[in-house]
Amino acid sequence: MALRKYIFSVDHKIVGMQYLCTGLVMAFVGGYLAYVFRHQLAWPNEPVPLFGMVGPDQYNASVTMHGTIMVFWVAMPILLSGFGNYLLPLMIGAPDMAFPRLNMMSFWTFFLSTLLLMSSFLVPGGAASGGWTSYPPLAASPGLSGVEWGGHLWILAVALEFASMLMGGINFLTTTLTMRAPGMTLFRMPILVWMLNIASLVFMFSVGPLIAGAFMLLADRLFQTGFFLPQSGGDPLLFQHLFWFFGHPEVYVLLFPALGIIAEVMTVFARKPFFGYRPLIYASLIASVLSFLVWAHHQFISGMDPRLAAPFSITTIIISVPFAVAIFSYIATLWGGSIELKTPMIFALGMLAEFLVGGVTGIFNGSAAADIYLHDTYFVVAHFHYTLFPVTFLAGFAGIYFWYPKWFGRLMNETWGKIHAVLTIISFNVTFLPLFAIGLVGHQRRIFDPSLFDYLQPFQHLHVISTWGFIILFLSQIIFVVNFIASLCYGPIATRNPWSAATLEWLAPSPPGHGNFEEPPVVHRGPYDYSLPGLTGKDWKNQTEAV
Amino acid sequence: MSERSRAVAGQIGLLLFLATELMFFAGLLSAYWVLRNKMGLWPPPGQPRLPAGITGLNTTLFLLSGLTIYGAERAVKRGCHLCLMGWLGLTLLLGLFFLGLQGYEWLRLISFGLTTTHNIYGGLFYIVIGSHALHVVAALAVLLVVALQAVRGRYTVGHSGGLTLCRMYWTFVVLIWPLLYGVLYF
Repeated sequence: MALRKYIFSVDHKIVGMQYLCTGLVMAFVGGYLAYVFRHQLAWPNEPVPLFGMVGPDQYNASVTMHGTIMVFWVAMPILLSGFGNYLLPLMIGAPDMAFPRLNMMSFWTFFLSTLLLMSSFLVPGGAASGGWTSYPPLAASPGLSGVEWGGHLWILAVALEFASMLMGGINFLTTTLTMRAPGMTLFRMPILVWMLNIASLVFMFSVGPLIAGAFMLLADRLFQTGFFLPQSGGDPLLFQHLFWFFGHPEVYVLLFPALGIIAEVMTVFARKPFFGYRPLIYASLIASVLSFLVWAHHQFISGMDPRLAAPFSITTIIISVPFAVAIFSYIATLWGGSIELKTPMIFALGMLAEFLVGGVTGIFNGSAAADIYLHDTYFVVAHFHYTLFPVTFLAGFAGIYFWYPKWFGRLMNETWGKIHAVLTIISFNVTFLPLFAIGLVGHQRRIFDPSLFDYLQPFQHLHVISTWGFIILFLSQIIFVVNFIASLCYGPIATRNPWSAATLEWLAPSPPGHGNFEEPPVVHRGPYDYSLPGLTGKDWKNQTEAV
Repeated sequence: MSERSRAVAGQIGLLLFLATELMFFAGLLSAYWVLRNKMGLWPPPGQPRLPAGITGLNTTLFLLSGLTIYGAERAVKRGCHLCLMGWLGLTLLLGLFFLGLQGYEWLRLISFGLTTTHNIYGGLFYIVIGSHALHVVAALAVLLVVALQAVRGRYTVGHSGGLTLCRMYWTFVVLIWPLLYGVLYF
């Protein structure tokens, strides 16, 4: 019975929890790998505590697997599948997903892909080490990197992971289109629901070409076809195009759910309706279309036709316009609100502020002229960590602290939550701000031992600062883990609606039983009716309350 | 969920999946064009020509199977069980014939020396046509399941959701083929 209920369950809440927990565990694997190579960068060729000596091959493998795990096995499962599976049916007033069995299959496909990926650490030759982008010729010819099985397993695991996300995406879109509660029109849906659907659409339309590219890469490795090898008449740039045609939309696949999560959190803790709900949705739809037209800005110095650089620079700078609209909507939502700095709100504000730094530094990389200098330096590393860390972890934590009472019926400890939030945000900046500086002096990425380069010696202390920042960041997460587990037993009992939020999921019991709602909800108003005038006692109305 | 809304949900889900499939083939074909234009001489000297003529005949028959499965769906609406079985059987035969002839052509091509090792021409042929062949195998498996259901009389007027999904997938696999044939064989 327990097996059916908690392991092989078709219930969207269990599937969501399974994704979330797998993602959180994988975050520690990815973080540990980051610790290994950050230690090597700060104190080159000294043994790493809890690991030992890092050789160049292990360095390459840990950098590669850190990127792969953090994007595909942490950010995707937590943001899209974890929050999405648990919350989407609840927020639209549905009893479950449209295809519950497909949903269960999606998780188990994902779990299998996780096992495949982790097993690649154990095979002879070690895990994949051609970078998370897996560029050929390095990734296409095992002879060059010395990684035989690790590379095959990497491709298979990523392909399976995509298949599972594809099943999830189909489920999200179909559920949203067919199972909304009566009265839940498209423009009464909470922003998170919109964002999950836009993210799913972007993912589904971008992933096909990458799967094609991955097949061809696997064929190069297994059957020596040479699609991406110049000596056989192949074209290594072709893979870069196929990869980034997916890879760039992918960053928006991660960003959209994060924007959705902080929209839910901010409206509740600012006690205000969302400012510019429709403009935000339209801006996101425009951005999702534009996201298919910017990919070659990752390849300005790859040797592609330089005439392509100008149009891709222009589209890249244009895409910052809809996101500027989004950021302004969030700021205007906060403006004049009755802001309450609970843990989820601190994380949400952190996400907005830090992501802004990531977005603005993206303009530098997006203009071809500046990127020729900045490309493949630590400036780029700092830039994308300033986008992906807030998106994955700050928004992720905001969501976890916010919906924890709904998931488990108890609140997390607020004091330790705040300490966790402040420590995380500060140590994140200590880790990655120095990397901007180190990149601007010309420090290339993927260098095993910076002490070999004389011109980098005056800046070695920045690596040391960054690594200490990371160690604090990593250790701060222990607070979260302890708080998460201890609150399961000792947290204060949560009511159905501890935050006085207006969306549908707060109507259901905490935690919701099978089928979610005692009676099917009927929706009469929008999702963010806070600070309504003329009310006494409470200042908000649930979506089901009559106008 | 009522049976009707379940059927609608199934169709929406399948359409979304087919859109992803379309992007997959678009990715393969764009890779094909890039590599072909890079090579200059196509097919490369010393490589066998692809059997455009016999595959053209096969294409015509395969396109017919797109019509026969439509006939099966109409037969359910008319309530004619015998017609349903006939149309489904015909579709299965046409699909199997397509796959068989393609397999035979593959064997001949291999004997003519069309291999994959350091051979982009051969590699592209096998990966694009092979991807489609895998889709045909999957579609045939689905069709077989549907045919078994039909034998048991599961499909009646208004209760043929599974058959409709099968028809949509089969139609996709059939309609994408002339595109691949046109691009690769000429």
